[in-house]
Amino acid sequence: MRLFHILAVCLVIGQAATAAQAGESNTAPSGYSAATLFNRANACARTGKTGLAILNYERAQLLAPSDADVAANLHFVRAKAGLPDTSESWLSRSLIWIRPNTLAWLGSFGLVLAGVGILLVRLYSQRRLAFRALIFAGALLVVTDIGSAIAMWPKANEAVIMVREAPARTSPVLAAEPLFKLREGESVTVRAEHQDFSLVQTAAGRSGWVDRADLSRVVIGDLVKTGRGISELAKAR
Amino acid sequence: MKTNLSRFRPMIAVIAAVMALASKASAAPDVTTQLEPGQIALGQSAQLTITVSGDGNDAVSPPAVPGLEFVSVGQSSQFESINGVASSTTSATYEVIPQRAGTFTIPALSRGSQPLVLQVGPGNGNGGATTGNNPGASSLPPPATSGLSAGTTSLKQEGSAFVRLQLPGRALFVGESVPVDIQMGFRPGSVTSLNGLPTLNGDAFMLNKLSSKPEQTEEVVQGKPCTVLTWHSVLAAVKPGDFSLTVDMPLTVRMRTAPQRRMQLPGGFFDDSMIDDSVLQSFFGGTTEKEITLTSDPDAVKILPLPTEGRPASFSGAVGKFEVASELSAAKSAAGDPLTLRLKVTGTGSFDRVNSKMLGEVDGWKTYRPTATFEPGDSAGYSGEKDFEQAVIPMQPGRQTAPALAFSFFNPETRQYETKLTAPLTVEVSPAIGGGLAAAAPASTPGSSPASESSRDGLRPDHVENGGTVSTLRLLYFQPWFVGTQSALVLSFAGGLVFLRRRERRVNDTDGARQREASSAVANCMAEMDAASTAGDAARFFQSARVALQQRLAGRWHIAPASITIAEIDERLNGDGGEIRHIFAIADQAAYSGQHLKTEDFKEWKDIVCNQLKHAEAL
Repeated sequence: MRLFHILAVCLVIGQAATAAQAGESNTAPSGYSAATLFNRANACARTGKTGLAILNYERAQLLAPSDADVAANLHFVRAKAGLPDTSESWLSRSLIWIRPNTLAWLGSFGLVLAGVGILLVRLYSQRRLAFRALIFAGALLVVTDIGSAIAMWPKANEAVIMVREAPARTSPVLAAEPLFKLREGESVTVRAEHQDFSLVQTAAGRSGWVDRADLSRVVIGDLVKTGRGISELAKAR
Repeated sequence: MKTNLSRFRPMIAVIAAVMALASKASAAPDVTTQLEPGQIALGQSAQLTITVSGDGNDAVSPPAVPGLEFVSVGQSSQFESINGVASSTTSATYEVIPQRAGTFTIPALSRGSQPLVLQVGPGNGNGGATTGNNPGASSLPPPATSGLSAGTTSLKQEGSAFVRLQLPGRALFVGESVPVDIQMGFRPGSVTSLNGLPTLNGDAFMLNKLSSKPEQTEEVVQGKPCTVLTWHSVLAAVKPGDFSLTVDMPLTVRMRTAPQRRMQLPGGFFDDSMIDDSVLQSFFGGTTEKEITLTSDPDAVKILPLPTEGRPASFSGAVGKFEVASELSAAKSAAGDPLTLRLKVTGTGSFDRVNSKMLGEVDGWKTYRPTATFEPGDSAGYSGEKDFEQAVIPMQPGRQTAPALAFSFFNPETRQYETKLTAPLTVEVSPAIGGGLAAAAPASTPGSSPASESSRDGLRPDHVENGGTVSTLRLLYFQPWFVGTQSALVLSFAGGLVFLRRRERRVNDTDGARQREASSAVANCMAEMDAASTAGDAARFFQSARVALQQRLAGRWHIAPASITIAEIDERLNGDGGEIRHIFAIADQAAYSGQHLKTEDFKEWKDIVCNQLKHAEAL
């Protein structure tokens, strides 16, 4: 009985500790969703942090490309800051109705369908028509998947200027002469990186080296592990 | 002939002067005076040179003349000894500055000499005392011929530098901006440095920022080369009235500290074409640098007030000539979606006064404060394009029209107010999608908040978190494990496909199958022959050899092995298969005769069979 009592007390203490941990984790980021990023972007936009707002809207759009609220607020913040909207290819415009990751899984499924269909056609030639339909459906999914990957490829190298004015220099050194200045919230494509500088290209086609501290990539690695989101907030402050 | 005489004139003059000096060497001191020029304008100066020659070494002071001021510039002495007779010459140079216009007489300083007369005309501020214009020269203010006059303002390095302001020759209006050129010219070598940019005198005008790198040109003034620096800028009239406008230019000039000796010598001896001014200066006297402020001639400018009559309500003070155009960022939109309304104002005039409130309070539209950017069309910013951008939100679905934008300005050419209107812009507005700001329906996007909460700051409201999160933003396409899985799937299916195709090919290939079957049977027969050889069983050995040959030939001839007999061989090989025929015959004989063979014979027969099998394969 005594042993049972001790075990019961330990169980109660353990549950309390777990509950406390759970409460703490509610305040810390445990992952990112389109809603989280959208709400964070709204907060940044309301407090005048244009660069951070646009960055988070862009990230939210990655996870929810068909979300009209994200698109509208992104356009609104850009218009308010006097920044042009980034031009989207017809491919990305036509694929915004499905989330890229969902499309990636569908593509995998399509690959399996097409592969199995091809094997079944070989094995059971008498039902060739049905299996060919299977191959066609699978191939369609695979092609859509590849199209989505191609459309999303530029996003992988997209970055947003985080400071009020970022000089784009002729070479990746601080002493280099600035060619032009980039405004906060402006979206650029990162073409190359060298030490603390990134070679960026604007929508207008102008290129220059920008201090990496002055910009943030839209697509980055593990946000939770690197704590990049928190450091970006600190930078914006 | 005249030309020949004029060539010797300087020489004759020098000889005469030397003779005169020699004859008066022992005489009383001789005083000569020289005044150049004899006619100047008020604000300019002449140069008086007093030369004392003879025994006396005392310099003679200029007499006091009411209305004239004598400022000592320098003094020089010269000693000569000819045939043991010593003589000296002392020259003193004075700057003669008139205090008023009129005719002044400088009394004679020695007996027998003539008084000097200086005529001073009313001044116009420039060096107008020079005579003669060089054909083809510019219309710059003519430079004076004598030395410097250092002062604070209205100072010219006469004959060496000038500053001028080029203005339109008409009355200006308050708020009007006009292009102006500020030009500063100087003779090469006379100005050592510019100590700043030109500045405007007068509080009724505003001058745009001047470039630190003015345009530089070369001009000919009074037959001499002159460097002219030009600043292009825009002058804005600030208040009405009659004003005098001048420009100051601080600079450092090189000044002579000794008299110009060439003036005392017979005219034309040191011609400009022979020796440059600066060479003469450095040879006959020293030079010093002095900071002065050069001032342009005053220009009378009349500034008129803008008429109050007919002033439009939308007038914001712009004076000039402008055109306007407007556009919306999209022709189709959804209710609550922000659009960008742009107004482009192009033309010439006071762009700093070009302003627009864009869309104000308009029914069916939510509007925000516009922003403006100016793109100058020239270096002075007189012409260009000013763009206004305003975030606007159509609140109601349907065909919505953004009203025409009005822009008013005063045209100084027509002296009237003008109002330019843009064309009304139409946009097709669909009902709000996903919780638009103006949508009456609730948001259709999962997680969207009701639309009514969002319109205060123009942002669509926050979403409700539904729990689904990702740990990374890197899309699956770009994650190595996903790419690896896809690649493995593709490889697996490709491998399966290859396997199936090979299997099918083997099934469908009957000829190949027969060949493979024959090869297998031949291999078995060879093994049987080896076993028979070991056992010394000749009948079995030859039987297996015959079967092996039948299998091989059957494979080649596509017939059943059992149907291959000696007769068939004869028929098909036309008597060419003697060895094969022999093996077939021995096999029949051994089966019934019980013939025995030695080990060496077995080996020899096996070689023969192998050769025949190879031969049969080649048939």
